[in-house]
Amino acid sequence: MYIRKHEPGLTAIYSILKCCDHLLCVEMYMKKVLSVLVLVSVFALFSNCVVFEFLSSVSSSVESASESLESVSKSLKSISSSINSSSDSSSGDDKESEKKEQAYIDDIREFTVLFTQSSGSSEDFLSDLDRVARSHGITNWQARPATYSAIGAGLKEAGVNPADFGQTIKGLNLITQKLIRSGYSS
Amino acid sequence: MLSGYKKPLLSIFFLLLCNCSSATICKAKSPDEKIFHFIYVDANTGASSGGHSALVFDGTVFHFQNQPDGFFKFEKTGFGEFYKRYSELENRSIYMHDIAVSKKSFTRIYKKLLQTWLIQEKNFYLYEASSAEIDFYHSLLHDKGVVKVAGADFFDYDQPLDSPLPAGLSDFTVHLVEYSRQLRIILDQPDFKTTDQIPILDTGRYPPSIQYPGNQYIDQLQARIAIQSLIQGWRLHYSAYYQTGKILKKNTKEMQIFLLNEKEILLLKNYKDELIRNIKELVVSKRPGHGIGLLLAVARLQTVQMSIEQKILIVLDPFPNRVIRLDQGELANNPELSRHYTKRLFNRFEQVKDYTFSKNDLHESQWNGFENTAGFFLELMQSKITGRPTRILPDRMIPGRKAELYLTKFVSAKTVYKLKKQASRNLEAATRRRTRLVRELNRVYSYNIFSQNCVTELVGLVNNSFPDIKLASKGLGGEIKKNTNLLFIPFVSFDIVADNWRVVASRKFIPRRLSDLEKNKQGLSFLGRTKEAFVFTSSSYTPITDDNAFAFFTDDQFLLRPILGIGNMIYTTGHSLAGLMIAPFDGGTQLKRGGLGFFWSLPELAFFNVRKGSYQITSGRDPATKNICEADSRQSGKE
Repeated sequence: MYIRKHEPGLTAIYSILKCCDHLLCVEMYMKKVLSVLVLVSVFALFSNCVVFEFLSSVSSSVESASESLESVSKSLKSISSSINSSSDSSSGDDKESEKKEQAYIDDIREFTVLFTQSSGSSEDFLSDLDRVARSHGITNWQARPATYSAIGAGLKEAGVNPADFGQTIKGLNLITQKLIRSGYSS
Repeated sequence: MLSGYKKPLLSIFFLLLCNCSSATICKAKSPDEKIFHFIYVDANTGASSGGHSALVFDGTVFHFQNQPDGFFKFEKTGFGEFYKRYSELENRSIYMHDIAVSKKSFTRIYKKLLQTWLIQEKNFYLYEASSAEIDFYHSLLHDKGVVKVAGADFFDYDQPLDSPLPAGLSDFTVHLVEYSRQLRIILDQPDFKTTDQIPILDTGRYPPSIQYPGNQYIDQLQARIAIQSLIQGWRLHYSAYYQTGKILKKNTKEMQIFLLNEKEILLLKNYKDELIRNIKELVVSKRPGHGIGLLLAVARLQTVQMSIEQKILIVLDPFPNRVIRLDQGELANNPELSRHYTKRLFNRFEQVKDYTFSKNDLHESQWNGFENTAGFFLELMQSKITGRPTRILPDRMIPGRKAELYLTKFVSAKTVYKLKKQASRNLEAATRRRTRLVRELNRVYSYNIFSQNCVTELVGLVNNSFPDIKLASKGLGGEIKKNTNLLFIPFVSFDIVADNWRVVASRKFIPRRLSDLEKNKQGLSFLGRTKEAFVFTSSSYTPITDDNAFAFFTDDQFLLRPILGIGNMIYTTGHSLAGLMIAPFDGGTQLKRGGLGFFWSLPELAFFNVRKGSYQITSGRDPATKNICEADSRQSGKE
């Protein structure tokens, strides 16, 4: 083991410490359990009530994954005219810049996967996209080509088949289609 | 001003100074493999005193941490930042395993971690947006038509600009007037229906969105403010940006770096054109969040215009309303700290400026990074002149402070009345909703020392990246179940990982003090080494009030540890007795330091070290991962 190798004396007391730590933790844990037992019971009862409410409220609003895809498609149509062709994501030759760009692409791609597999309107998609982009210091994400290729990659990762994909990007302008396709086929 | 939080605050400040570019730490030997890392950070007093664990993927660290608000959250950060915090400031050793997996497994786990983080961010956003809406309703009810709006303090509503709209926008005026009119109609018809329903939150499922009619109203309001500012030609408020020419002295090297040459001015002119294009797009856009985006673009346009005209860089003030403030007194009393601050911030700014202006074009994310770095430096310089506290914040910031705004400037008095009625009707449901969200978040993001701690959650996530535990075992080289005995103890988990996953190399990042000692090791006599072991004669460490009292370092002394521990107990007993006598005068601070010092001396009697001391400022060391990797790869292999 690495620690053992570099801390010679540690091997001897290793098993004792394991045991001591365990006992200490058990003692702390028992105290904690006793002190919160009543609170937990009350909370559990209350939580159950809330869960029932959640279930009844959510069941009526759940949409299928295909509807989410439709929302993505609708969203893209509403924003894609703004792409700034000069704002090419590959302009940065610096490693740090590339890393930041990649982090942005990763976040948008994975968000698209999650959204496609959940439910939500096109407004929800745009709202969440805005929030994710803002965490990267970007407010004009609709003008960035990287946004669209990341969405394309996300659709692919979410398992959207080529037919559905074609339907999703139908009606978009050619530049947008090209960018999303590049992400989908990468 | 900083009171008991001084050390964490200073630490946060100095994390800002680190060049947080995260190195790709080690490359796999086979082209079909990739390396990820399992980290164990050893114990020290303070947060995560029993040690800490994390995973690193391509320089991004994922780890679970207990937050001051009580939530147990999943954090994503750069390795550079993580290293500075734990190795530099908290003076802890970082142990790292390289784990070789197939590219497919690597991607699978990385995506799982990223998705878990994104889900968590959305879950917490539901709560934050809910709070923002409640604040909006409260301000409508309690103030006379005054609401707080982000970005509202960009402009001075009484001061018109000297120059007209830039060429690209002047021919857009007719459209601006029309869009402003349309927005006014929307704003005059508020129709809020806030429900108290919330979705069931889960760490593994992306939650559906919640409608926030109040927040959507603010979005429209922000768009109208931005459009009006263009039509009316409102000037940027003097507090919304740094007046570089007044802050920096002429003919200094600081000023020189802010002056713009012809090439840089040309680059700014191109960026100005891009801003104008963005403004036109955002004016017609109806997407959520377009309001603040538009406000920001309009405000940035003015700073870029001023920079071009004055041939000196001018940036918006990036700091939000809630920031940590560092009293100038703290800096004045510590000249070394002050010099360090200034030098590091200036160097960082110089570096970022060189990089930003070496490009052929500028984009928003680059400008935002540049705005942040320039802002940090100018903030410090401005504080030195005015004596005002220096604002600090660790995260990336987008300018847009909240400011009070008279609604009647943008909507009719009748609308304000309607808004108040709507707020009154919706406040109760909004408050109920927020309470439920807090309860849900507490349920989902809670800590349990055995079953839900920084190690168990990481291992659980890695396992869950695979369809089942057998595939996880195949992908990782062995099986570690989340409920494996003693896995919850970070240093034990490090060994369990070594025994079970495909560990191809391991390394240790030496903590700050020991690294300093290493440099001088050969020249140290017995007396020299003794001096270094004593807190008050150590050349690397200066006792700080936030560390508990102790007299001897025991982290690098194994055999002498119990004897030095007794020495620490004697010293801390004396410290506590003195603290007891002066308790009425210092509020018990010294007594507390002595008491804690005594407590953390006890493990030393059993050869166990926890306390290592900590630092307020970083030393500027790099993790030097490349060399370590090369050295380690020669002796790699699972033991």
